[in-house]
Amino acid sequence: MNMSFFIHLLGWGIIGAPALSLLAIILDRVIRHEVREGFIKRCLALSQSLSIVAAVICCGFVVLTGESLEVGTFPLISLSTQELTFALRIDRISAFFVLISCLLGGIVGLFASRYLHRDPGYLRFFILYHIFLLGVHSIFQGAGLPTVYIGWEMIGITSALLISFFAFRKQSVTNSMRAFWAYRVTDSGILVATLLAMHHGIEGFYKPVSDHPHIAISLACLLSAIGKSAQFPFGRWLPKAMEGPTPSSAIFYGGLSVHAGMYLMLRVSEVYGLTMPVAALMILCGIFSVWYATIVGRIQSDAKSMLAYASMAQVGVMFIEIGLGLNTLAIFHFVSHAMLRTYQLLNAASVMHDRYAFEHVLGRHQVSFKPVEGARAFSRYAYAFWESIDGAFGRLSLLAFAEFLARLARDFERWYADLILLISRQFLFCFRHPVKASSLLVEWVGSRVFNSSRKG
Amino acid sequence: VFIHHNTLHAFEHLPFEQAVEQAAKVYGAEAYLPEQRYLEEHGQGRITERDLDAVLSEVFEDNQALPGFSLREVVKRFLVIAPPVEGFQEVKWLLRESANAVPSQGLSAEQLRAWLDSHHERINRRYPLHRVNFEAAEGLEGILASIPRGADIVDHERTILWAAALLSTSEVFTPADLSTGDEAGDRALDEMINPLVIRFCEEYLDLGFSNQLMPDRHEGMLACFLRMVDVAHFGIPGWLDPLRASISRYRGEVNNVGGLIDELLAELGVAQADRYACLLREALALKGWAGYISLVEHRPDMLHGQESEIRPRFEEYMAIRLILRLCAESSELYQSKLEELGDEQQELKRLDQLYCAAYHVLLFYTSLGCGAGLLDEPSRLYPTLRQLIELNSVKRRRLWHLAYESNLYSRALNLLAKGERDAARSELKGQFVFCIDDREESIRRHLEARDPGYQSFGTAGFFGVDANYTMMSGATAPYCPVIIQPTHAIREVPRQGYEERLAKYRKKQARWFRLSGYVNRGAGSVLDNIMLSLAGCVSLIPMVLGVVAPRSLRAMGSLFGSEPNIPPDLHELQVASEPDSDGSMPGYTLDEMATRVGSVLRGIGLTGSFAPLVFLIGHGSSSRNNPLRSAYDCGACGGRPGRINARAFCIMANNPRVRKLVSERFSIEIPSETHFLGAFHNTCSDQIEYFDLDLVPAALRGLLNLVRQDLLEATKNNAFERCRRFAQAGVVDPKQAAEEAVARSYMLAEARPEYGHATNALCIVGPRSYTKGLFFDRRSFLVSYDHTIDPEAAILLGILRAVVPVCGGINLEYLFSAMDNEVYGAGSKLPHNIVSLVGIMNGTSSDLRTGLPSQMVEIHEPVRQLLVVVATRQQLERVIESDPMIAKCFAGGWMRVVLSDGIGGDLWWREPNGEYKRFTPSEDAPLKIKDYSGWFLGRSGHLPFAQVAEER
Repeated sequence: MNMSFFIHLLGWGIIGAPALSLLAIILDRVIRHEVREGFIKRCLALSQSLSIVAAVICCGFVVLTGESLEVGTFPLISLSTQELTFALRIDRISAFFVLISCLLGGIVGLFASRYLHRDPGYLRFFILYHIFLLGVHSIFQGAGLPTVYIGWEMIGITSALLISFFAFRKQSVTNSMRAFWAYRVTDSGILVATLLAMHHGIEGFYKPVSDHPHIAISLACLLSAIGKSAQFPFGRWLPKAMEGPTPSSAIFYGGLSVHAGMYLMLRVSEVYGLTMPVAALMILCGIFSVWYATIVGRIQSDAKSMLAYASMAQVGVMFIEIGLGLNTLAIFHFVSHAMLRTYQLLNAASVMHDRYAFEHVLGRHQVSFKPVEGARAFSRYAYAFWESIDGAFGRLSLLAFAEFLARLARDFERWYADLILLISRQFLFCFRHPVKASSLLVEWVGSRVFNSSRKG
Repeated sequence: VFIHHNTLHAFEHLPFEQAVEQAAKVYGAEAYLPEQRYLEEHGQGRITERDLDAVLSEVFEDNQALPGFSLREVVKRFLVIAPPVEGFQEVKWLLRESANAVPSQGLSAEQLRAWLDSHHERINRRYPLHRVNFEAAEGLEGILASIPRGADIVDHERTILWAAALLSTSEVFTPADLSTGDEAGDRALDEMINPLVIRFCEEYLDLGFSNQLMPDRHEGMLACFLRMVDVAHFGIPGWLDPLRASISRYRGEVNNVGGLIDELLAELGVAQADRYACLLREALALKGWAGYISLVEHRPDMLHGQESEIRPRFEEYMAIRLILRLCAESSELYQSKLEELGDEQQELKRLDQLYCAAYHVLLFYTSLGCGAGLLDEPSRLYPTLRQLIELNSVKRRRLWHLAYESNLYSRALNLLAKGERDAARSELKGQFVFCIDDREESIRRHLEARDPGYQSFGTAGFFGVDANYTMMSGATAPYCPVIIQPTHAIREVPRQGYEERLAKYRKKQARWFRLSGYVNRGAGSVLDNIMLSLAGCVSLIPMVLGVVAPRSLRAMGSLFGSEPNIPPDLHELQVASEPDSDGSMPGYTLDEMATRVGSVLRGIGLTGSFAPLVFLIGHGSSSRNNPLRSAYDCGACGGRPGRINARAFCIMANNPRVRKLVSERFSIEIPSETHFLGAFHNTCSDQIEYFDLDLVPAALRGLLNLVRQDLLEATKNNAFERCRRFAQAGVVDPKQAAEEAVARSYMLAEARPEYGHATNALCIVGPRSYTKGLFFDRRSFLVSYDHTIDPEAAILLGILRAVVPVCGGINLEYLFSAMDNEVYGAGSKLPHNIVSLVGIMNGTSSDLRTGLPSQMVEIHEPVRQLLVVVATRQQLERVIESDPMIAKCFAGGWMRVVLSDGIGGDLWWREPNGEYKRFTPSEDAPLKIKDYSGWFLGRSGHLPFAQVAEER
């Protein structure tokens, strides 16, 4: 057994451990007809520690030697003209992302296994959690756009299902639908990007491609990145998404999921290079998001919304950094921010007592209440206030789109099944006629939009 | 600060059962536990036949109801048989799928045929009377039509019996009151209005959490709201647009809110008679926020020093709701929502009730083998049937609940009546005054078991010290029961000779807290947040350690001064009054100190035979990431840890001049060699902290070390006993348990650091000798009281004045939170979110959650508290006469009261109406346990009450 085989094995182990653990907990439930918390906890602890060890070795290897690690490919569907593979690969960029996702996944998993003790949804939570981790690993280690796309969908679905974890409250279901629709709409970007890339035979997602401009692919990816990373103008779902159990909020909206879009753009800028219009658009989105999230986030008075807006703003900063080409800074920013935000969200229940302890130690006068007075302050405040309820900005800038979304949500039951069917059909169809497929999809979505708006 | 109180405060004037059921209607809550739960408890023997008999014999006559069965017997069987079913679809499904549930009755074809022949006429007779009956009749035709023509009728016995049950039931059935008003409209309104009102309340009532507070809040709630609509030209929801036109009109009425509300109600078209109902609905739509607003309106001191800035008024809140309602009801959105939600189908609900009742009747008759009875003449069938149908789910559950309570009561009283007390005595070595808290029951037991020379007492944990505590930082807080407004201050002052160390410590502490305050909150500006998030990787350390190794995190933190309290050896308490008081609250004069020391000692019956060391042990709890932390602290100290109180009491009691006054005024001679020592018991980590150890006379040092060793062992055993409740702990010996307890109290990921009062059920007021050696499984408040030195019942009055609201409040809060965790309690802790430094809500926008989360009450047995008082009848009655609050509580049955004649004497129930009834203990002798550490190992449920027969 040589060194390289060992490293490859470990590379598979990073994603394989949670996959096996997921299988084990599902099988255990099926065989024993009961939920055994202890077993789930042990599976999780074991698989996560394996993942972490494997990630540390692999990423250490990648970072130290400077070469990238081809973990391996796994054929999914092979057709006469093209082959669709699930391919994993770790390189200089993804090393940090993989490492952080293993680390945070482990800690938050451990946190949750204790925090959710005796909850009736214990098993459900951990199944979703495992799927989420698999999704995250496929995104961060994906060697090709198809792999990234699979992971992208996995974290989208689990995110929506965990927001509505307490589904007996209407509020959480409504907010979950909101996130779900933001995902659905923006995820079409990465789907289109995948199809286009396949058409050009450049679905590989690691080595720089220079012979095409690829603006369309970059733009499509940007759309998806904006959705997943809750950037302007699709970001309004994020503050509403804090309905699930605290640990899931922490890992999704503080730690990993919210950074997936930023990772995608990092990749895009490495592989395709950011052309001027894409970079400009990205910086613009980032600036708007930072501005918006700061203004609105400042007036939030509950712990989790406050942190959600803070996340939005910081990811916006990362977008700007990537747009400006400061990729290394963006990676460091991600590492640091993911840790901080996850911790803050896990710790969110402490803020009240921390605050009182603060006053206890330093005296109340130390806490500065400087209420701003005057008409201008008030009107500025009022705009931010209404914004945090209804999203006037979203309405103004995307009036038609918001209405479209609302209709989508209402017609959900009627034709969502349609959409899924169509996408899956498209997916198979596209191998022979990728361009035709994507244009068909666009046409179909367009017809739906216009039909439903005419009806209303 | 979290204070336990009766959740149904507003219904206290009613008897308990009535109040619970009425409140359930008003709040849309469950009155009792789900029926399934009672049935399970019955299956596990937690509710026995005996308990059911006892309850039924009080409620029902003993006449014959069915051939061979008395009414009581019938009801009892009915309770056990009637399964919880929810709707007619479920009934249909059950009938179709589980045929065996209805045993065959072996009826003859003639009997069935005869009934079939007569049923047409009966249906026709009832036909036009009632809509429900009409539907049932339709169903009936369908049911009978399902029997194929020419089939052997005996094979379809079940179908015919079901038809008969349905028909008979529908004829005597009156549907329960379902008038809940316009449900779809209410829901549509709530969906539109509530998110807005919640956001506004959050912002307006923000005590300083967000980075930018609402400006000009002093103008008042309504004015701020109107201005908010006025200044924003875009962004307000579309349906609010019409409001703009009338803003100036509402503005003019800001000072006449009552009038405005009247006008609004008139505009809404609410009839004079419906006004109360309408306002009640609006108030209860967000009962947490509305309640908080009306609370702080009356107690502006709870606004955290911002009473000049924030002016919440309940009236204005209601006016805002009504204004919004007016806008909402005239909007298109409301109409479309109405369509979407559809109207509640009242008819279906009635049908549900009818089918469930009929199904119960069917099951009941067939399982008794009286199936033929169902085919009986209506006139003979109806009396019993009517009684059974009247026993709807709420009434059944009421009976179940009484039986559930009675089981616990009789087990406890049995032990008190027949259990042998531990009477071992030896030379007194130490006396320990604990709080009455049920959580201290076990540590007292473990401590006393170590040495017969130890004696423990229980008194309210503030030890009579009703002071405002002024910290060195200038922050103050009252450390006394909430009903007392403190008039004295205790100051934290630097200890002589330690000033330098103290200054250094405080500097370190300030640095740490400034930093962590900054990290927690940020400063709100873009640049700041970027810097913060770039430096954020440091937070990996507290995150990993907080989950994996909380104890080492704590140790590391305290190196940097993360502990908010100044170590007790660096400061001392200034209890005495300063002569040059500058208008601030004075300390205590010698005279006042003597009053407090004397009355506490007399209250617990410690008037002679002092041990050389008397410990005063306050209690509190530490936990991490727990917004409800202060619910675990000492209720008698106003939901704060009882550290200061124990320490201050000892300073007073050790003062020779105070002792002299005490002996003069109370004739309690405290020997000069006796020393009082303050300590603090952390009920979560099970650690004990001692104060002013250096003041202990040299002669007592040796003894002190012995006692401390024993206390340490006792806390370990106590932790061991507690840990059996935690399924995840998995500890096997006291040493591990002690470590687990400490880890729990610092653990970031712990949703249940301790179970608090979750096991409370009893409260025993009497001398410790009355309860010593009995195992109450941490379920009893123990209050020390010696009725022989209290002929005037003045001490008892003082005790019950504190015990009834405090222990009763704790008990009822747990009870209601367990009964309906979503309405009365706070739901699951998992999605909780802290808001405005005021409280918690679910997720991003919800009502302010009141009550306790499910994690705190999951092991709780919701029973009313059983108060056992060892005293004479005259004493008890005298107390009840002289305090209307106690009288109301007892008369409503909010607490069950038993009077005891002492060890070996009789026990008397005091009924709500004031009668005394002797309690007759059962035959069986109480359980005896020898080695109880082995006994509770691996058992996480409630243990039986028992007597401890430990061999020394």
